[in-house]
Amino acid sequence: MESPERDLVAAHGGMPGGVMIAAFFLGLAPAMLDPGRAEVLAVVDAAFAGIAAKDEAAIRAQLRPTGTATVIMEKVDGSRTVRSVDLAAWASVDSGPERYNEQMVAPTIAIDGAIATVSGRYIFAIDGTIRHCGYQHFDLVRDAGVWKIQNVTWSVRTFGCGATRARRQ
Amino acid sequence: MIFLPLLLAASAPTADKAPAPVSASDAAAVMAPLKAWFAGIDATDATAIRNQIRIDGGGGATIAVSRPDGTKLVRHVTWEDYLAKIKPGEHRYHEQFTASPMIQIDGDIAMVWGDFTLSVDGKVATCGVDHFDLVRENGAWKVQNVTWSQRTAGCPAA
Repeated sequence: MESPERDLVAAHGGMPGGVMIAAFFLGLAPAMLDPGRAEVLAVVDAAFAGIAAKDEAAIRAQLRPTGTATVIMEKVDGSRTVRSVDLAAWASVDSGPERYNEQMVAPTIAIDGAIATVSGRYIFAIDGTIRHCGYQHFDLVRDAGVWKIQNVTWSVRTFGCGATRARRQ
Repeated sequence: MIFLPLLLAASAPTADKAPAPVSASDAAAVMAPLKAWFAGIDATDATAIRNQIRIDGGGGATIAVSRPDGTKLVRHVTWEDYLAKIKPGEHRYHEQFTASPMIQIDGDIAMVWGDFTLSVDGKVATCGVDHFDLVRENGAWKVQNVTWSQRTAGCPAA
């Protein structure tokens, strides 16, 4: 079963100052990008790989020690709730048998020195079927040469996600 | 200050498309708290800035500093620590975006990314990119987090 807690807390599921680039499906993107952007994307991709593997340590390794995870739950009736938790909660995973797969879709990437953002639509699939989608916004910083996620904000919708099946399982 | 919305590529609101285009009115709504924030900096008015923050959201400010000697520093401060430093003094501050920032809005989430300068007594002291993370709650856009790069070299004139 899909974990409500996962939905709520850990739903990993060119412009001024930088160059904007869109990469279709994050997991396929790094090889097509310049090294700088690939490095930023690799952090998000590694977090998603941790989600797929249900490996909290692998997810947590991509996170800064302080920061927030903010989720906006969008209901079919139009009502919405906003909740923020410590970023560490974003790394929580359940131990059930379901296979999770989260992907950014054509994310926007911007970098300026030691700050970066990865943002755009995402899909979250369970056992190969998209269960929810939304918009996700990662805030990353590079400290001591290593990019990590400082904050993440995302919306969760269970409607209007399209019939697309996840490409990576 | 002039804030011009950057129109993003049009799309239907489905998962496999880019975020919807940002209308001028939506962009203005997202930029309103940032304009008020910058006005608060100009006036060294911590309350004016506090009013733009989702203060109970646990967020804060993260600063990535590049010093002239090449050393770099990243630090994160809580909102209370950030606001405590905003107080009237002998200097005049002015912060502004120096070009149209990138704006993305999807439902109740928005992000703004743009070049800024911070002037002290009429002279640019630092520059970089401001990255605001905003959410709309009870109809009002508020800042959940802000992260910025900060350098003193290569900044444009005021």
